[in-house]
Amino acid sequence: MSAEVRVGRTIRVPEAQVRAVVTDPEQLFECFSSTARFVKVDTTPDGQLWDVFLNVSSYEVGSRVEVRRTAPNELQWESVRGADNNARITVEPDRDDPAHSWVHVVLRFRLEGKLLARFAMAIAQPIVTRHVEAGLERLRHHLEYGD
Amino acid sequence: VMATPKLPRIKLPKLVADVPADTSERDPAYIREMLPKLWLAASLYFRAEVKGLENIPDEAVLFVGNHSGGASAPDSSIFQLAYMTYFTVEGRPLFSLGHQIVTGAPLVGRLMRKFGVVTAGFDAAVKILKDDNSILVYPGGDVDALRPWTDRNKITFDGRQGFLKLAHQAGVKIVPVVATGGHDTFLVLNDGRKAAKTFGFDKMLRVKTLPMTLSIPWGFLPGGLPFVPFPAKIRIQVLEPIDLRERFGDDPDWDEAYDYVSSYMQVGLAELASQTLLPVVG
Repeated sequence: MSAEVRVGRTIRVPEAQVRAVVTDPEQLFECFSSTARFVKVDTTPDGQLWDVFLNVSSYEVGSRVEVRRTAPNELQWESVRGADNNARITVEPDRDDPAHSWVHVVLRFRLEGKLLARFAMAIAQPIVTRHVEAGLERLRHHLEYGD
Repeated sequence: VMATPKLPRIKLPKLVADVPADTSERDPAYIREMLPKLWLAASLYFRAEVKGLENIPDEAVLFVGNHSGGASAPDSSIFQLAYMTYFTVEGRPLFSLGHQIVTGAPLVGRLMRKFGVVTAGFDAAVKILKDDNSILVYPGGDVDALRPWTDRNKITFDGRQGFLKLAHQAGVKIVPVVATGGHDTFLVLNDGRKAAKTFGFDKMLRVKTLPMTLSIPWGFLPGGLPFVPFPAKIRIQVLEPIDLRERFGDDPDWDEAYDYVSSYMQVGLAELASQTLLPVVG
């Protein structure tokens, strides 16, 4: 059983500037690290290996992921062990104001099981959404104000 | 053609008293007496967590917060409790600026004033800060406290910039305080600004929003009368101070400063919200 989280934010900064940060895992994960643990493990022929763990209450949940830049404006990851998930983060010019950017995250994760998995998914999806929202807010603020 | 009969004019009783911003009504003995009861409510009923108090500098500051939970707004009381247990009742007094509907309300108003709530007013607030007291404000007021539940993790200041001018004029730092959980103590179903305007609440009571709410014991009710809150977990985070003069100079662009403070607090609120597992449960 799988679930999907989609979160987007407008960032009042030109796309090229945002793209430089979003497609660089080290800079991107630095912004997301206030609510999760991101540790670079290794470099692979296609990209990088990172341990990504969300701080959920008194425990951490996450996985080791392989991160790759799949387009000049896109970064993707796929889990290689731990919680089964993949994610895609893209940057585009904002539709309402092309001088600004639109950053969009799509994160999919899977749980094994039937009824209990459905129940766990219903709880997990908003938790993951709030973590992605927090990361995107930090990224937006960092790019807009340099903090 | 029959003339329309003229109805007798009825004078409605005034429910809310005019209360000037007076700091002398703060009653440390009363506060000390109330602290254990408040602590029990905060710790057992709301399982409150207040973090970041070490970010508060030892000087008069303007605390700027988001608050939730309509007329009950438990996060406000919990922050005041945390401040007073951290700095002691005898330490630098903390006043909070409240709507006249709060400070002038029968019974409740007097208790609030004893606790350090004063009627919001710019000049009085500048004087309070210059007298080396700290102040707690919620710029979003009723629009913030009664925002829809779906916006519970959004900073909603409704464009109000007076708090920036207050901190700048008084020469004090802003200490942002973000809170989650208050909006799980009842349910706000919609944005009630249109309804408040339609029924004239914005002019009669300076109440800008009249949403449909679901609470105990009222059930579905337009607006936000005091209610029995659901025992939701409250989390509060004090963020690092912002020095407006240092960042924006002596003549700030207020829109720029407003956007910055809102953005900074939005990051803090989103990060705090990410700690929530389930609404109410925490």
